[in-house]
Amino acid sequence: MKYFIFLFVALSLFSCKKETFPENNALINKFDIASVEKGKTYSIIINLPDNYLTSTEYYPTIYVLDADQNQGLVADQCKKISAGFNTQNVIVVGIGYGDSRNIDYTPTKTDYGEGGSDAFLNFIKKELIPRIQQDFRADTLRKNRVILGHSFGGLFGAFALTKHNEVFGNYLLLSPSLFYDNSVILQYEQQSRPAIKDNSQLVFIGAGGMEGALLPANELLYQRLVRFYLNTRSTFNIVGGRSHNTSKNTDIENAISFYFKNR
Amino acid sequence: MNKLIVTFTLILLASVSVAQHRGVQEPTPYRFTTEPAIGIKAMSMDVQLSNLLQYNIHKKIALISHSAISFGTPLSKMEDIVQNYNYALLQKFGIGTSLYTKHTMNTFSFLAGIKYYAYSGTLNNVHLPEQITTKSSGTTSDFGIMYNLKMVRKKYFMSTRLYMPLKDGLAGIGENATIEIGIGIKLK
Repeated sequence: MKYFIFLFVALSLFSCKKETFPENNALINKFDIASVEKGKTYSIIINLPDNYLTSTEYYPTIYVLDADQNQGLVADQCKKISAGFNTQNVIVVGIGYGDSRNIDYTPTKTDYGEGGSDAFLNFIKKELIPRIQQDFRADTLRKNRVILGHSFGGLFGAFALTKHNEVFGNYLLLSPSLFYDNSVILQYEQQSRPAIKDNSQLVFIGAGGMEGALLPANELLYQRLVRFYLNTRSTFNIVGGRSHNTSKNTDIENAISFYFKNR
Repeated sequence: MNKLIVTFTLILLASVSVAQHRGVQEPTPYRFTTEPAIGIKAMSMDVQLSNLLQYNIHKKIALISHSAISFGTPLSKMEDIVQNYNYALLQKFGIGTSLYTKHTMNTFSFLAGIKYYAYSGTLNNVHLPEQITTKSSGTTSDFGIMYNLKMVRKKYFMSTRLYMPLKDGLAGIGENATIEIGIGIKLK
C-alpha cells in the first residue's frame, strides 16, 4: 500500500503547474519582415521596457540571435538586471529563424556552414534596424546597439565586430565558435584592426570551462582586444564546470550584467 | 527536472520500504559485483573507461560506487587546434533499486559525486602571428540517474549502463549522457 501511496504522490507532482504571471501584451510586439537582401522572411519579436508606454524616452536596443530559444531569458534578465543597477532598460529585439543558422551565422562556406553572414548582416543593417527605429523609440546611436549570440550566433557577433564594426557598439559573444574555418574571424580581426581599433565598444566573451577546443581562439581574441583596442572594455568570462550548452544561461546573465554595468 | 528527481527518489524510497517489509525472499544472483566498462558520451563521442561496484544489501536495494576517467576527442572541424590533454575524473556514489526478470537484473540508481576536468590546447595557425596555449581545469559536482542492465549468467556477465546527468537539465542530458558496455564479475 505504501508503495502505491508513494507512486500516487510522485505522479501527482506532474499535475502541478508552475504559477505564472500574465504578460503585458502591450509590451510585446511581433511581426514578420520579408528581407530583400536575403530573400527570406524573418519573425521578429520585440520586448519593450515596462515604462515604455508611459514615457517619451528613447531606448538602447539588444538584437538577440536564436530568438526562438533565447528571447524570453534575455528579456527577463534585462528587466531584472537593469532594475538592480537602477538604470534604463532596453528594447529587446529577437530575430527568429528565416534561414538556417548554418547559413546566416557563418562567414564562409565550409563543410559546416554556407557562408551567409554578409547577407544576413546587411539585412539587419539595412532593413531591420531602420524598421525598429521607425516603429519604436529606439536610440539610433551605435553605442546604444547591442548584439547577443551563442555558438554560431556568437560567431556572427564576432563577424559583426570585425567586419562591420559600424553597426553595433556592444558585443555579447557567448561560446562563439571562433574556431570556424581555420579561425577566420581572427584573420578578419587582423585585417580590420587598423580601421577599428580606436572605436569605443564593449565586448563580452563567455565560455564554459569544459568547452575544450573552443577556448584557445576565444582567449586569443580577448588578448588582442586588451592589447590593441585601447577604447574597448572587454572581458573573458569562464563558467566553471559547464560545457557548450549548459553554460549558456549563466553566460547570458553574466553578459547582460557586464553590459548594464559598463555601458 | 526537479519533479523527475523527486519522483525518482520517491520510487526509490518506496522500493526500499517494500523491500524492508517483505524481507529478502530470494537471494539476489549477484550480491557484490565489479563491472569495468568502456563508454561514450552520446553527443561528443568522448571515450570513458569506468568501473562500477554494486553491493546489494537486499535483493532490491543496492549501494553503488561509480568511478571513471573520460578522454575528450579532438574535433576534426577545429583544424588549427592541437589538443595537449583533455580528460575528466569522476567519482560518484549512490543507491539504487534492482528489479529482476528471468534472465536480467535491472538496477535504477541515483548517483552523486564530483568531477575534475582538465584541458589544454594550442592554437597554431599559419595565418596568425601568435601561438597561444590555453589551459582550463576545475572541480564540479555531478549527479544523475543510472540504469544498469545485467544479463544474468554465472560468475561473469554483461553489463550495459546508461547515465543521465540531471544537474543542468535537458541541456546537460544532451551533452553529457553516457552509454557504457562492459563485463561484470561476481565477487560475492
